[in-house]
Amino acid sequence: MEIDYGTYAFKVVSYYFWYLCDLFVGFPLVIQICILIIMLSICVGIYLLCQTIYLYRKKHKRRKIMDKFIELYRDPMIEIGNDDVVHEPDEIAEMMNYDRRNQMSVTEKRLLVQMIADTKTEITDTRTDAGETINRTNFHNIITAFGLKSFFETELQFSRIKYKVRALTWVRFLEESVPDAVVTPLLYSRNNDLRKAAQAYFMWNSAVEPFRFFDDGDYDRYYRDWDKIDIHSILANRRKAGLTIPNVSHWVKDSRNEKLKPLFASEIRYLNKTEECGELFDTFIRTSNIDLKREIACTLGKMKHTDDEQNLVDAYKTQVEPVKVAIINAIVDMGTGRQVRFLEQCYDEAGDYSVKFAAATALYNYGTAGRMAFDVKQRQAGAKYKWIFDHINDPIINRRNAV
Amino acid sequence: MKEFLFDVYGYCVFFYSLLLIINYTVLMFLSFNSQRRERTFLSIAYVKKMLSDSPYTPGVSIIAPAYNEETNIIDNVVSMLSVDYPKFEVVIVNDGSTDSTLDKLIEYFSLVEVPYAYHESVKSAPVRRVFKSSKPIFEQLTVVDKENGGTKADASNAGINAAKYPYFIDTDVDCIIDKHALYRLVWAVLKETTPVIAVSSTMLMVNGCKVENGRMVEPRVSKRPIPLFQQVEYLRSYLVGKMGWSALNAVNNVSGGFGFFRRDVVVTVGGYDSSSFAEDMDLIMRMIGYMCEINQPYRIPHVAETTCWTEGPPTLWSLSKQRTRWARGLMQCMFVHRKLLFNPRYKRLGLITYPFMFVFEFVAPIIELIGYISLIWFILIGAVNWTTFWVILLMLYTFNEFMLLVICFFSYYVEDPTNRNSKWDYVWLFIASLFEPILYHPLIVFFSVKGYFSFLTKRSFKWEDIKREGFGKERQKEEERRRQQKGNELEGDETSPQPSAV
Repeated sequence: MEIDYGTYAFKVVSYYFWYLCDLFVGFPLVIQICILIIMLSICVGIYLLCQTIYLYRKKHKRRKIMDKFIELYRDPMIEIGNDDVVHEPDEIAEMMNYDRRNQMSVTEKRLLVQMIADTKTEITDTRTDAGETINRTNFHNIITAFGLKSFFETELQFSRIKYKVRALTWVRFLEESVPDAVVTPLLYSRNNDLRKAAQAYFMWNSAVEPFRFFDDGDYDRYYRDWDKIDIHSILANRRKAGLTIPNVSHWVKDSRNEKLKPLFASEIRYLNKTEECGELFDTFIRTSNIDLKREIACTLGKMKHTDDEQNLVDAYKTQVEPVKVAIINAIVDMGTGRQVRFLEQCYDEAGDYSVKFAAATALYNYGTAGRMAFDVKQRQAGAKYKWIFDHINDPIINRRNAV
Repeated sequence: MKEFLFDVYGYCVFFYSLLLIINYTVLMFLSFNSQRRERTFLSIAYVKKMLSDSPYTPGVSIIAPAYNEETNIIDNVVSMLSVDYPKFEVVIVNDGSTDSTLDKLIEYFSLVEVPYAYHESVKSAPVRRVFKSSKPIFEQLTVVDKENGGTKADASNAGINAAKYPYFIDTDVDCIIDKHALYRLVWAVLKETTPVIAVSSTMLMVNGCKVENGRMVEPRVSKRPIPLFQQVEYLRSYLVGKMGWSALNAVNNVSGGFGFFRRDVVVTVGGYDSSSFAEDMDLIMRMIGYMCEINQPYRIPHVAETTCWTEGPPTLWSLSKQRTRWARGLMQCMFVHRKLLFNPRYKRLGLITYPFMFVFEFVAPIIELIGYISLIWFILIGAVNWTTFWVILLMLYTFNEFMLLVICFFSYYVEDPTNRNSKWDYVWLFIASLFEPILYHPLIVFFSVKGYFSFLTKRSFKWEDIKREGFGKERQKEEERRRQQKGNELEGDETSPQPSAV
C-alpha cells in the first residue's frame, strides 16, 4: 500500500500538537500562552533559518556564476561591441569559447542577460563620452549566439510575474524583439506592473496601433511618474528608429487622467512637433490644471510659436505664480525682442520671489534691449533685491545653471 | 488584597508584553509582504539608463550640515560628490564651525565666494557667505557658511533654502552614502501612483566597516559591544518596524541621518523646527498632518536596501547623550502633536501610528523601569513565582532570537547588493541579541527615562555633537593589531630555538 506522505506528516504534527496541549492542560493561562509563543517561535525560527541558509547559498552561487561569466565573456564582449566589423553569431561563439550546444540553466541565463546589459551600458557610456556609438548588430548577434532570444520567449510565457516584467524590460534595454503573440496575453494581466511593461513593449516596438492604450481608461487609472520617463523613452526611440509617432495633441485635451496631459504637452516640444502647437493655447485657457498650463507655456516658448506670444502676455496677470514663471520663460525662449516692456512690468509688479527672479533672469537673457533694461533695473535695485542681479550676473553661478 | 493587587499588576505586565509581541509579529508579516512587493526593482543598469536619458529625471539636492568636522570633511564631501546620479547637487552647510572645517573646504575644492541669491523660505540663523568651486569638476558643490544656530535643524533649514531641486536628502556630513542610493530612492518615488512626500531607507552602522576615501569598501558589523547592540537595534527597527509601517503607509519617522523629502511640502510646513529635539519626527508629523488637512493623498515608502552608513556612538557616554536627546525629542513630539491622538482627521497617523508610538515607544520605558524596580522588590520580599518568571523570560528570549532570525532572513530576501555580510557577522549579531535584553536594553530604558525627566524638569540642554572616532578607525585598529601580532609571531619564530636535527 502506498503511503500518503502529506497525510502522514499532518497526522504527526497534529499528534504532537495535541500531545503538547494535553501536557499543559491545567496550567495557568499565562504559562499556556508562553509555551505556545515559544513553540511557534522555535518552529517558525527553524524554518526561517533553513530559508536563510538556502538564500545565503543561493546568493553565493549566483555570485560565483556571475564572476565566472565576467571572467569568461566580459573582455571579448567589450571587444566585439567596440569592433566596427560585424561578426556572425557562430564567429562570436567561437571568439568567446562558448559551445552553442551547451544548455545553461534558467538562473545562469538570467545572470548572463544581466551581465550583457551591464557590459552594454559600460561600453555605451565610454563610447558616448568619446562621441561614438556601439556596434548594435554585434550586440544583437551576441544575444543570438547565446540563444537568449528563445530564453526571453520562455521567460515571458512560463516564469513568475517578477521575471516576466524583468524579461520585458531586458528585451527593450537590449533592443531585441519577441513575437507579439507572446506579449499579447500579458496586456490583459491583472498585475499592474506586468500589464504596464507589456503595454510599454508594444508602444516601443509594434507597428499596429501601438498607442491605443492612451485611449484606454485603464492606462489612466494606474499612472506613475515612471511612466512619464518610459513614454518619453519610447517616443524618442521610435523617432530614432524611424517608426510612426502619433499626434499627441488630442491626448493633451482628452486624456482622462489629468497627470497624463502635461506629459503630452511637453512631448510636443521634445518631439519637435511644431504643427501641433496651434491648438495648445485654447487648452491653456480652458484648463485649470497648473502643470498643464506650465507645460503648454513652455512648449509654446521652446517651439517659438510666436503666434501665441501676445496671448500669453495677455493671460499673464490672471495666472498663479508657477504659470507666470513659465510664461516669462516662454517669452524669452520665443526671443522676438518685442516684450521688454512686459518683462520689466513683470519684474516691477512681482510680489513673489520666484517671479521676480525669473523676470530679472529673463531680462538678462532677452537680447541687447533686455540686457540694457536689466542694467537699469540693477542700478535702481535697493539692497533688498541687489543680490538677485548679482546672482544672475555671476559667471560661476551661471556656468553651473547652464549645466 | 495585597495578593490580588500583585496578580492584577502581573497580568497587566504580561498582557502588555503579549500585545507588544503581537504587534511585532504583525509588523513582521507586513514587512515581509512589503518586501515581496518591493522586489520589482528592475536593475540599476536599466533605471540608470532611463534616468540618464530623460528630461523628466527629478533633481536631488544632498544637504549636509557640518559643525567642527575638520577630521573627515574632505573625504565625506568627495564621497557625496561621487554619488552616481545624473542630476544632483551637494549643499554643505558650515554651521559656524570653530575649527578649520571651512578653511579645508575652501582650500581643497578651490571655493570662491559668490553673490548667491539666498532666499529664506524657511527660518534659519543668518547666512554669512555662499561659496562655489571655481573648478568645473566640483560644480555640483555649494557651501553655505552660516552663524551657528545651535541645532542641526537650523543648519538643515539653511540648506533647504539654498537647494534648487524639487527633492532633497538631509544627511549628516559623516554619513557614507551608497553609490546607487539616489537611484533607489528616486525609483521609490517614481513607481508610486500617489504623490510621495518623503522616503525612508535603511541605515546601518559604519563602525567596523572598511572605508577608503569616503567610500564603503567592506560593510561589516562592529565587534565592539555598543555599536554591535545598536546594529541589532537598527536592523530590527528598519527591516521590521519601518518596512512594516511602510506597508500601511504609516511610517512615523524618516531618519534625520538620511532622509529623502519633497522640498515644496517641507517648505510649506515651515521646514525643520530648530527648537525640537527630534526634528526629523516632528517634521514628518507636520508633513503628514498638512497632507491630511488639505485632504491630499500621500505616501511615505521605505527602501529596504542599505543606502547609508552612519557612525553610531562608540562609547556608553556618547550613547547616553544620544538616547537622552532622543527621549526628550519623543516626549516633546508627543506633547506638541497631542491633538493627533485618536483624531480621525489625521487618518492613519492619528488612529494607528500616534497611538502605537504613545503606548509602545513613549510609555514603554516607564513601564519597563517600573517593571525592573518592582521585580527587585518582589525578589526581596519573596513574592516571585519563579516557574512563571522563567517561563516568561524564556518566551521573551525565544521571541527576541526569533526576531533576529527574521532580520537575517529579510536581509537576504531583499537581495540587497550592499549586503556583503559574512556568516560570522550574523554569528556576532546572534551573540549580541543574546545579551542585548539584559545588558543593553536596561541602559536604553534608563537613558530614555532620564531624557523624560530632564524634559519635564526643563533642564537646560546643550546640543552637543557626539564624539566620533572617524570612519574605519575600529577596523584600522584591528588590522594594526593583527599586523603587530603577526609581526610578533614572526619575530618569535626567528628568535625561537631551532629544533634539533635529532
